[in-house]
Amino acid sequence: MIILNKFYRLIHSYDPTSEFFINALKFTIPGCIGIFCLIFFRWPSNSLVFFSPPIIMAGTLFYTDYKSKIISMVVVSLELMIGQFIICVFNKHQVVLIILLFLLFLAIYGYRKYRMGGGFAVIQIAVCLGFPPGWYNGVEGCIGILIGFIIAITSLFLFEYFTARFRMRSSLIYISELVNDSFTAFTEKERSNIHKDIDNKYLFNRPFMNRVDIVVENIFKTKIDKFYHKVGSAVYKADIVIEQEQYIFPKNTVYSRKAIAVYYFYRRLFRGTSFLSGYFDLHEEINKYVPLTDELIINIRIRLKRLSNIMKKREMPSCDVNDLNLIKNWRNNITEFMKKDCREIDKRILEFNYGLCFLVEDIEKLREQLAIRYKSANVK
Amino acid sequence: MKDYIILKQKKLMFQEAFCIAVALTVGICIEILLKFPQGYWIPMTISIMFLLPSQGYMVKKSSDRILGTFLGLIFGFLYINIFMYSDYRWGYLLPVIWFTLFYINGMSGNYCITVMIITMFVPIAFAVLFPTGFSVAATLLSRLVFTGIGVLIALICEFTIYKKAALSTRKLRSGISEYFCTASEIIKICNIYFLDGKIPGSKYRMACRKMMATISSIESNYINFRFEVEFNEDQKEISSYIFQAIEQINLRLRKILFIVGHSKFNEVAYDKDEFLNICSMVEDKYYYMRKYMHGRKDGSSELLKIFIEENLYNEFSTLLYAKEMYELSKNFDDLTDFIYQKRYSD
Repeated sequence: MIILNKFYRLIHSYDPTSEFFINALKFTIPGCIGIFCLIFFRWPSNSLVFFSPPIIMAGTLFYTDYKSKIISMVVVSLELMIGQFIICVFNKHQVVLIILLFLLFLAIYGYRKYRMGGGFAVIQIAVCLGFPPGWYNGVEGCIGILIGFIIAITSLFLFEYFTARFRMRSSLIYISELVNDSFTAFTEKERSNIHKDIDNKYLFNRPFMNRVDIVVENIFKTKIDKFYHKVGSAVYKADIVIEQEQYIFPKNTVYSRKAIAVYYFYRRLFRGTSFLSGYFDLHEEINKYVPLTDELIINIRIRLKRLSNIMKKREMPSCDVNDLNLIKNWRNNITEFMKKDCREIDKRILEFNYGLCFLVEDIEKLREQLAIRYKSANVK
Repeated sequence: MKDYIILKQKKLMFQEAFCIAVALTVGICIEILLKFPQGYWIPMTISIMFLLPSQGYMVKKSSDRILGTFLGLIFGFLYINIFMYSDYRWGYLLPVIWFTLFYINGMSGNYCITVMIITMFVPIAFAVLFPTGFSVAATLLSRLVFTGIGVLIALICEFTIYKKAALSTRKLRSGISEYFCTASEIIKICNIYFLDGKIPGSKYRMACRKMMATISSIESNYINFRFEVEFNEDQKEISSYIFQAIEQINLRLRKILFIVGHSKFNEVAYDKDEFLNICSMVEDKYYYMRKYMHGRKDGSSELLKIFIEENLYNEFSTLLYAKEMYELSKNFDDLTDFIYQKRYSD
């Protein structure tokens, strides 16, 4: 059980939103459907029926709107069809074959927008050089790719219908964890304890192998800055899933609209944490200017963790506030602080108090948003 | 500036496309002329090599390509010859194996695994479709040789035909320019919204996302650029200085965005037009970054400093906004001064 838990945590840390799990399914399932069609309908052996759907699907990974995804699928299918047809038909006319293939490759790699999908198509075209030649085989290959295209496009819609809501929810939960972690990273007085206190330990500790989307070992120097950038990447990746992606099915569109409201507040909280960077060096002075700050920090940490758990369990946020009096008293202290001449105070202390003040406000708004969100889910 | 970058990128992309098309055609010519039984492996290798056409990346990944092919072939043929020949039902497990490999590949971003998956896929699919005539040792050896030939052709073409088109150095430079253009875009949006008190729309989210993507692209191009012919110690020093500036600019932009999301400009306390003019100078300076790298100067940092000192009002958010603008301007000035001195001191 311990090993299983460790394994789960490792997998979760590398694929927290199950994005890669779904992508791996996107590559595998269309091919399986192709094989199933070949066996079930007893078509003559046509390998392109199961070769082409994963390649056609690969092109869609680089776009967020359905128009571009479908255009990319059409472009990759056409490139595949033309390539394999040329190879089959001009097999005996080698000079013509070479010239035509050269022009085709030039067009594929020169077409900026759909180049990545085209790169995968070229791998398949190269494999087609080993296929039996002739007009008949060329036409058969085209039919195979056409069937592959139909399988791929059907899979695309099926995947959207069944996985979109799951992806949005897991993205939100992940962001809630990360915001909590970045708050802890900036407000932990003992730097060596940070990795113990945060949920996403692997994201904080490891350079993440060759993942070009999150590795920033050269640009950022400190561990906290690297971590903060990775959190930022995750926040903007969630933006793609929740806000940018245009969903076709009404159920997903409605879910996305509801998720945006919660996501919006988490993004604000994430930005707010960047104001807290002075806390490590100046927490004694900060407490002198605004008493109860240390207590409030601990309170917020617990609160953020509880809000994240509320999202995981789809509960009503009724028990997340620890001490209402503490917040009230701290607010009185900050009002007193704001009356002081701000030019005489260290800029980092000003920043910290400004950030913390709005963080408290945003957490309250987030709580209200979650209450609206889970009210209907809990009323039966 | 942006149009110029796009135009230049288009030209480089066409040159890259030409180089790849030539490499693939050479591979196909060898396959056709020598009539090898599994000769298609050569153009296939070339196409995999050019999936991400960057010179440093290709050099760095050549060994991964050969190792991935070797492992893919070993696993592929062992699977066919040990499991599937004894019992065909082992074939049903293939989708699970591919799924696992795709999953590991996605999570790790490991090029060797990518190559291994593709290499495993082709012989297994061929063994399923054409079950006769497979000799493990001979096929394994010939495919390894073809992989070597493919890698060689790809590298020769990369280093001879428009060799500067796929240099990561250029991509790194254009990535840095794009970063500063995007930063300028964010500053512009923030200025408009902060001074008019509106809530930022989807435009700035796009800009923020673009910025994160640009940082990742700068990082990966920097890693590749260390394996290229044009790399030297000076460039390393300049790059590390630029990265320090990016780190600072990023932090300031995040703070500005937070301020814009929560507060608005205090018109009673400050002169709006004067403030907007100075902020626009900072915005322009980021947009026309290259001109400043060649010694152009402006007085926005000094103006902002005077503005902060002269406005003696106790207004938290506007003061913080002005201070962040000043820091942004100063970071930029320090960076351009350093690059200018470095460039002209030799």
